[in-house]
Amino acid sequence: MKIKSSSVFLIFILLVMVFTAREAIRFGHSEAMLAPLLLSLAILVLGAIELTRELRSKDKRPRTVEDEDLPPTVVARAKGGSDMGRFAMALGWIGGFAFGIYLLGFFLSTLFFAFLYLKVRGRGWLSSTGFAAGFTVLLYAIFQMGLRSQLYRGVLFGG
Amino acid sequence: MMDAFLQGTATIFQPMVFLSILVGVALGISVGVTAIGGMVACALFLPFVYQLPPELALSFLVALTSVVFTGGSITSVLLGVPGTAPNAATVIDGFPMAQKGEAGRALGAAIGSSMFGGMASVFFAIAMIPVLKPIVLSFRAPEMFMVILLGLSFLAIMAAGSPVKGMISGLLGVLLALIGFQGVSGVYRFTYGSTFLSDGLDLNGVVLGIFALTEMFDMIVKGKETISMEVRKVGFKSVFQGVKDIWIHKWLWLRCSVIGYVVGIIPAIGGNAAMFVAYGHAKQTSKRPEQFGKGCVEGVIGPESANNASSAGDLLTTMAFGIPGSAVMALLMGGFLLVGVTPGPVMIKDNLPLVFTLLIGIAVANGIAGIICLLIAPQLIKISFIRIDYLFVVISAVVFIGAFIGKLSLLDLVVATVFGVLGYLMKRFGYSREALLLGLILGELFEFYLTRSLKIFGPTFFMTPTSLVILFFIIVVFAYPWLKDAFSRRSPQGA
Amino acid sequence: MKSLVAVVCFFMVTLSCAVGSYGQEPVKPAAFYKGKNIDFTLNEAPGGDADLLGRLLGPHVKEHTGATPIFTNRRSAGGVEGYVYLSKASPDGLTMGIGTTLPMLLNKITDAPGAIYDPDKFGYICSFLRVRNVFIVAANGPYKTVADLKKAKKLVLGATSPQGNLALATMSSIKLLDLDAKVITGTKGPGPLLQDILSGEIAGTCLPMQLAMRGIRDGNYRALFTLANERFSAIPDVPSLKEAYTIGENEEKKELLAMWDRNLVMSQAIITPPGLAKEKLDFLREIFPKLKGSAQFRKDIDKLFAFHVDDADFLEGPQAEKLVKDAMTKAGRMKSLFLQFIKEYRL
Repeated sequence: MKIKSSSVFLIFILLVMVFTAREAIRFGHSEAMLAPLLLSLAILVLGAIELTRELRSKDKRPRTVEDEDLPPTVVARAKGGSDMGRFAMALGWIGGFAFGIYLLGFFLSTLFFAFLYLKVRGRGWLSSTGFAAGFTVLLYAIFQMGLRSQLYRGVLFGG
Repeated sequence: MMDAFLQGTATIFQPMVFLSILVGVALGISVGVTAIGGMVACALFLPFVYQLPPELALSFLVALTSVVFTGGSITSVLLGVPGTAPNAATVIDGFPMAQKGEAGRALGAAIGSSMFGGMASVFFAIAMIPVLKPIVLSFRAPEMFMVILLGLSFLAIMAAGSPVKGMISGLLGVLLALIGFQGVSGVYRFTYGSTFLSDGLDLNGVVLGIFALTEMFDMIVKGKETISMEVRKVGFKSVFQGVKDIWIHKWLWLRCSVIGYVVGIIPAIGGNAAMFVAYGHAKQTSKRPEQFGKGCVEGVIGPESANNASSAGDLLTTMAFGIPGSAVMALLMGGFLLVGVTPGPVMIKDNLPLVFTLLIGIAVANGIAGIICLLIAPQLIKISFIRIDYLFVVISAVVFIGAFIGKLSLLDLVVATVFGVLGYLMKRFGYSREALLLGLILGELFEFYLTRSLKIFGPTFFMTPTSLVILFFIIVVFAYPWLKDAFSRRSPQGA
Repeated sequence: MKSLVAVVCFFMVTLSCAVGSYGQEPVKPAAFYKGKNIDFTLNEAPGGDADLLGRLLGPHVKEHTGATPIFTNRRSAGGVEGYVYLSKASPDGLTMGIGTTLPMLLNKITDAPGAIYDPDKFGYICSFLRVRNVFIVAANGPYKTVADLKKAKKLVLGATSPQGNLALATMSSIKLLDLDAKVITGTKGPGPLLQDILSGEIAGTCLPMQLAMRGIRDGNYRALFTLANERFSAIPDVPSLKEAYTIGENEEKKELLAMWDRNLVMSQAIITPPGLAKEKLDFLREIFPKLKGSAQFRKDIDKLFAFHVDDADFLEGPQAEKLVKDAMTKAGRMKSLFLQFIKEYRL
C-alpha cells in the first residue's frame, strides 16, 4: 500500500505529539504538565482517526497542480519537475538567504541573494544587478537611515 | 462632557496638531506596509516626540499606532504579507482575490473597512466613557476564560473541508502557545534552556512565515509568473467596487466593528484575536461560506473592520484605568508619562478634553489614511502583475526584516522559515493555518484563565452572570448552522 | 614568486603598524567617546520603567560624553537576556545598560534558568531611584488596615512570576504578619495585577513604590504599609511594617525585614560589562552624577516615577556597587528562605 504524502505529514505530527507527551510528563508540576499532555493526547486521537480515514481512502493519487483550478499555461510551466522538488528549491533559497544574513548581515546578503536568484532564474545582467542594487539601497534608506533600526550586520562584520 | 467634546474636537484642527496627525498617518501607513509593527514604530519615534507639548506628541503617537493596520492591509492583499499580526486574517481571502485579478476590489474593501471601522469605534468609545469602568471591572478570570472559549469556538468554523483537520490545527496552535515560561508554576516548558524561547514564540515571525512565506512557496511550486493570472478590472473603478461592497454588507461591517471594539476593550486579548473572531463570524453568517478562503470579499470586510475598531477600545481602557491592555498600549502609556500626562481615572476626570482630542484623533487619522490609501490603490494594484521572481526577493527580505525587528534575534528568522514550511505543508494537505494561528493567539490565555478561575473561584466559576451570557453566545456559535437552517425552512421562501 | 613577495609585503606592513602603534599614549576617555556609538541595553519591553529611563538618559549621555547611545531591548526571560549579554560583552566602554537591581539579584539568587551572570561583577556607574515595596489593596475594598488583613481568612494575594520580586515580597509580608493567605502567581505584569485588585479578584499585592504611586495618588488603591523599617517620604502617611505591626523578638522575622529594608531595594543602575578599565569607569562615574544637578532631567524623572526622587536616592557608582555586593553576601540565606516561601505560600 502506497502511503500518500499527506499521511507522511500526519505521521510526523503524531510522532512529535508522542515526544511532546513524554516531555510533558517530565515537567514535574501537575499545573505545567496537564495542558500539554491533554493536548498531545487529543491530537494523537484525532490524528489516528484522520490517518485511518486517509489510509482507507480509495483516492491514492498524489495531488498535483492539475488538481488546482489553474490556467493551462501555469500547469504546463509547472510540469518541469515535481511539486516537492520545486518546494525544496524555494526552501533552499530561503535557507541560503537566512544563512547569508547570519554571515553578511541584512543589506549585503539581500544584495547577493537578489542578484543570484534573479540571475539563476534567467534574468539579464542589467536587470539583476540593477534590481539587487536598487532594492538594497531602498532597504538601507528606509530601515537604516529613516527608521534607524538596528538590523544585524553579520557575524563577519562584528554582528 | 459636551464642552470637553467640543474643546477636544477644536484642538484637533489646530494647525500643528493636525500636522502631527498627518505625519503620524504617513509614518503609520509606511510602517504597516514594511511589516515592522506598531510597537516597534512607537519605540523608534518616542525619543523624538517626548519633548513636544502633550497634544502634539500624543496625537502623533495615537495616529501612528491606529493606522498601522490600514497600511498592513495593503501588503496583505497584494503580496500575501500581513503587515501586522492583526492583518493576517485579511490574507486568507484578500490575497486569493488579488490572484483572481480582483486586487482593486479587495483593496477597496480592506481600506474602506479599516477606515470606517476605525471611525465608528470612536463613537462607540465616546458613548461608553461613562459606563466603561464597571464593564471592564466585571471581567475577572471566569469571564476572561469564557471570552477566550468563545474565541476558540470559532476554530470549528475555520476548518474548511475537514473538521478533524481543523481541530488538529487549532489544538496544535494551542500546544505551540504553551512553549515558554508558565507563570503559574514557574516552569519553563519546551525551552531546553533557551532564553529565546522562554517568552514563547514571537507572533510576528509565525504570522509572516505561515502566511507570507507559505504563499510564496505555493506560487513558486505552481510556477506562477505573476500574482494575478487574469486581468479583470484595474483602476479606480475596481477599488470603488470594493468600497461599495462594504455598503452591500453594511450589517456585517457594523457587527465586526462592534466585535473588534468590544474585544479591544478587554485587556490582554486585543486586535490579534478580534480579527479571527470577526473572520469566523463573517464566514458563519455568510450566504456562501464555501467561498471563504478562495477570495470572498466578506472575508476581507470582517477582519479589517475589527482590527482598526479595536484600537479605540484599547486606548480608552488604557486612558481610563492607566493599565495598558496590550504591548502597544504599554509603550503608548510610556509616551503619556514622558510628556507629563498620567493615564487613569484622574485623566478622565480632569483632562477629558485631551481624551476627546485623542479619540477623535483616531477617527481623523483613520479617515485621512483611508483616503490616501484609496487614492493610491489603483497604482498599487500593478504590484499584482510584477514577476514572481522579483516579488520573491522582496517578500523574503520583508519577511526576514519584519521577523527580526521585534526582538532583534536571528532565531526569529528560523521561526519564520519553519512556519513557512509548516504553513505550506498545511495548505497543501488541507489543514487550516488560520485555526492554528487562532489557537496560538488564545492558547496560553486559555490555560492561564482556566487555572486561575479554578483556583480562586472553584469548579463553579462559570456561574457568574456575565459568564453565563458569554456561554449563551458560545452555544449560539455552535448551534448557528442548525438555527439558520431552521429559520430558512420556516420563512415563506423556505417553506 | 609573486605570491611570496605579496605575503612578505603583507607581513612587513603589519609589523610596521604594530611597531608604530606601540608606545603611543592611550586615548583619554573624554576624547575616546566623542563621535562614537554606545550599545545601550534595556532589559525590559518598550514602555517599561527601565526602558523609558534609558531613553530619557539618551540626550544627556550624548551631551556629556559626545557619544550616541543606541538602544536595544533585550528582555527575554524577565530581563535575564540583557544581563547575560552585558556580562559577556567586551569591556570596551562602549557597552552599557540599565540594571534593575532587584530582579537582577533575585534571578541570580533563585537560580533562574539562564542566569549565568554575577551581579557583583558588573561595573556600576551610578543608580537612580531607591525604593522599597509597598503593600496595596483596593481603596474601596474591605481592608483598611493591617489589622483587617490579619483578621481575614483564606486571603488570595496576587503576583507575577513565582520567583519574582512581587511574589517574594508578598510572600514575605505573609510570613512577617502571619496572615492566613496564599499567593496566586502567573499574572502577566503589574498592570493586570492592579486591575485584579480593583475588580476584587485578589485582595492585594506588594509592589515597588513607583509602580503603585500613580494608583495611590489617583485614589484607586490604598497603601497599608511599606515593606521596610521606615516610612517612604513620598507617602508619609503610610506606616512601615515595623511600625504597623510589632514583629517582636522573632529573629527570623527581623532578619527577613532587614533584608527587604537594606538589601532588596529597587534601584535602576547604569551598569557596564565586568572588567571595564578603571579610567573609563571613573570618567563615566564623574559624568553621570551631573545628571543629579540637571533641572530638566530631574523634572523628567519625577514625571516618570510619579513622585519626587530625593537627592539621597541618586547613588554614586561605589554606593550602588556596595548595595549589590552586600545583597549577594546574603544570597544563600535568601535562597533557602524564598524557596521555602514558594512551597508554603503559593496557591
